[in-house]
Amino acid sequence: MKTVISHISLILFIVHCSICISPVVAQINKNFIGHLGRNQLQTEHQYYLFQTPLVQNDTLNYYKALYYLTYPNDSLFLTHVQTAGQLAFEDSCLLFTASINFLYNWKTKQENWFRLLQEKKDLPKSIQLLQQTFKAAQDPLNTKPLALPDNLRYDFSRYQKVCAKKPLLAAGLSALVPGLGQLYIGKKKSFVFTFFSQLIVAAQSYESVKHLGYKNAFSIINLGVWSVFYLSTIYGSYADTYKIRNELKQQYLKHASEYYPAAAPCTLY
Amino acid sequence: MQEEAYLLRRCCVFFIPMKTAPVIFLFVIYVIIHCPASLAAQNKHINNRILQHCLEPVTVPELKRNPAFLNIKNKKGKYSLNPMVYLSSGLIYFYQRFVSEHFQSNCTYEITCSEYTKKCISRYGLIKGTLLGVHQLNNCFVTAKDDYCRISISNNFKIINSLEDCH
Repeated sequence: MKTVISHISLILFIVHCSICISPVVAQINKNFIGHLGRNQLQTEHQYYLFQTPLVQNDTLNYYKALYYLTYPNDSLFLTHVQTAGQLAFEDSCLLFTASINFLYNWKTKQENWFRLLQEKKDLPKSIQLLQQTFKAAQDPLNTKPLALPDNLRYDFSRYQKVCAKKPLLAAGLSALVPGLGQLYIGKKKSFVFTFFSQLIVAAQSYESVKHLGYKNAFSIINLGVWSVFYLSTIYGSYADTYKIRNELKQQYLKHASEYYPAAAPCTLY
Repeated sequence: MQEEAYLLRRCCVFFIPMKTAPVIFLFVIYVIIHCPASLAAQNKHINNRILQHCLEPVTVPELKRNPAFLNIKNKKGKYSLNPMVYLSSGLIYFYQRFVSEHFQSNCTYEITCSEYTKKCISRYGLIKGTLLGVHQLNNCFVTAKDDYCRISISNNFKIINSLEDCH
């Protein structure tokens, strides 16, 4: 102890030299980052975070995640959020804004984000609501519309009804009566137009076969055209079921992404 | 002297012998002067670098474009040399160039039926592509927009028919 105290000046000198010799690394200036974010100065923001020598720690990764939320890039945002650790998950505004983006705009990494949120406990109520909204979109048949806010129930119930429709049944109905599969899905005007166009083409081919015989070139062309139209209505009804499901899902998620920020606005910087 | 020693001991956090007290005092003064100056120098240095980077002229690289006939890709993204694709694309091109001009020019869909058929054939093959194209033709009428959600209608009141939505 006495030797330590007697050499304390030497020890302090060595410590100070080691600090001076180490590379010049600046501390993160939070006010400056806030100024860059609020005024949308992307070039300066990007340069400050990625090309200046700053202290490499969780705080820097948190600010990089915020950068990729402001200037959207879903995959880079996800990587930086995961490396930022607990800091990112304590910022409710970041979680809220990111969840809104992942609900509607960032569709490729949607499941990754919400799976990440599922692993976290004690999330704010707004984030839990968003998780519920996403779960309802993924599994509509097992979700009750009453679990969602009033403004989203109409869109969700429409999406739920279409999810209950079977694509093979739609194709089968179109095979029986051309266009009936479209009516089953919910496209009333498409049914009318398809049915009458099929009727005209079928009548044309019937008349050509009746008057010219089936070995005539004109009859063969007519029959070929009619068969292509007929098969296209069957396949179209099958494909349209999935298309409409996707459309109504996107409609529901779009309304959710517009409703929640209006109900609970927040600012990132 | 004794009073000074007593005061120094009260000021210091740890018990330090009298001989090292002036050295430590000088060290503390040095740290107080040196550290803010070095931090300010770091900030100035960084600010200058940011300014230099922002004021540099931006160079945009030239885009290389492949010839149009090489743009036909299959599902894996590789260029395909399927003769049926070329034949059907050629027939549709003939129709678009010489016949289509005599019909209506305002389509209900964003991608016209002939262009949609051509793209579907190149992406999904001849049979599936033809069926999808003819299905769109079956549903091509003015009031078709009423059957679609608001999300599928673009700003110029046309139905958005992207190839990614096909099943």
